This record gives sequence, structure tokens and C-alpha cells, in this order.
Amino acid sequence: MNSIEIDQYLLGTMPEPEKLLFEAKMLATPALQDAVQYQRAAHQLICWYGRDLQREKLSAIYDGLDADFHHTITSIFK
Amino acid sequence: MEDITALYRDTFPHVARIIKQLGGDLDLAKDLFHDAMIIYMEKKPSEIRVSAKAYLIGITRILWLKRQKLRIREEQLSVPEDFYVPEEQQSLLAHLRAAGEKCMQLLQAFYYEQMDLQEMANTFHYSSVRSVTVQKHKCLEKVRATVKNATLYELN
Repeated sequence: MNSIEIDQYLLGTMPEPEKLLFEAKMLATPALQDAVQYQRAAHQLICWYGRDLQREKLSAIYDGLDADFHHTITSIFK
Repeated sequence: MEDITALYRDTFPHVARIIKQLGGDLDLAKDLFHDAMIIYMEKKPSEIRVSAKAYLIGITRILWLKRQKLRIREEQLSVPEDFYVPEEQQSLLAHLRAAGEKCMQLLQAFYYEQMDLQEMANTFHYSSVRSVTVQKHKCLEKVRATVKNATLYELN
């Protein structure tokens, strides 16, 4: 199954006539329907992974901040 | 990233005081604040009607309430429904990280960070937009196949 075409469908970049045709093809082809579902799940997992990377970057920002900042934070939780 | 660092430095002490008052510790304050920052960064500026600081404080409070499983009344601020990885998907995500971190990095740059292909080619050291495009599709098909196998395995 062509991931490029499925991406166009999932990301909403497929022109309307093609979209209708694609949806008709999906109805007639259960394997295509499955592939769309798996690809949608893949997008979701990629998004969660992206968020995990952001969490790592934010932790690095925290660690890299100056002594004044860390002093303030420590005093709040004293 | 400088803007984000400045916003972090300016806002986190406020959030930390609030979480402390609510009975939380530093780790919890950091976790909730980082999630609020992520939600903030995913928004378009036009979607945020208050200052960044007010928005972050509001979202952190909502995340705290959610964590306490307290009911939240409908507010202007909201957390995306799919924000956290559901428990049943966590091992699949861990597997994808372990088995194909390079692919996941490439894919998240495109789908999550919405980097353009030229920037991706530079960042990931591909010779051309075409080669990074080809690799991106190979990676997506690999992840899709992993999802398929995981789904079929689950059913059996």
C-alpha cells in the first residue's frame, strides 16, 4: 500500500475528487482500509515520540538555567 | 529556543509555588510544567488569547486537577484528548524507540515539528530533499508495519 497516497488522505492534502475516489477504493479494499488505520496509528505514535523528545529538551533547559533560578526553586520546595 | 528558555525561566517559579501550595513536589511541578509547555508550543499563536505565562499557569493547574482525577469544568483552556500515551500503547512506543530511533527522529521532525524537507536534509545529513523524502516514506512504512504486527499479535 502506497504510504504517500495514504498520507495525502490522512493529512488532508488530497484534492476533493481524488479523496472521494480514495474513499470508494477503501470501501472496496479492506486491506487498504487496514493500511490507513495502521498509518493513522503510526502518526499518533510519532506524535507521542515527538512529545517525549520535547520533554527531554525541556529537562535540559531546566538543568542549564543559572544558579539564581535554581536557588529560587530550591527555596520554594524547602 | 531562546524564547522558550526565557519563558521557562520566567514562568516556572510561579508554577512551582502553585504546585507546592497544592501539596506537590519539585518533580511533579516539573512534569506538569513541561507538559503545559508542550501543549503551549503545539498551539498556533492565534489560538492563545491570554499571555503565554497565564496560559502555562492555567494549563498546569488543569493538568494537576486531571492527575488528581478531579472533575474539571469546561474552560477556555484545554488539554488535547490524545496528549498522553495510553497504557496499552506504551510498550509499542518503547519498542519503536528501541528498534528504530533514527527513523522515529526523522519522522517526528516532519510530522511533529513540521520541519521542511530542506531543513530535514541538512539536519539529518542527506544529500538531497529527494533522498530524505524517500527515507521518510521507508521509515513510515516500517513503523506502519510494526503497528500492523503489534495489532495482529494482540488479536491472536
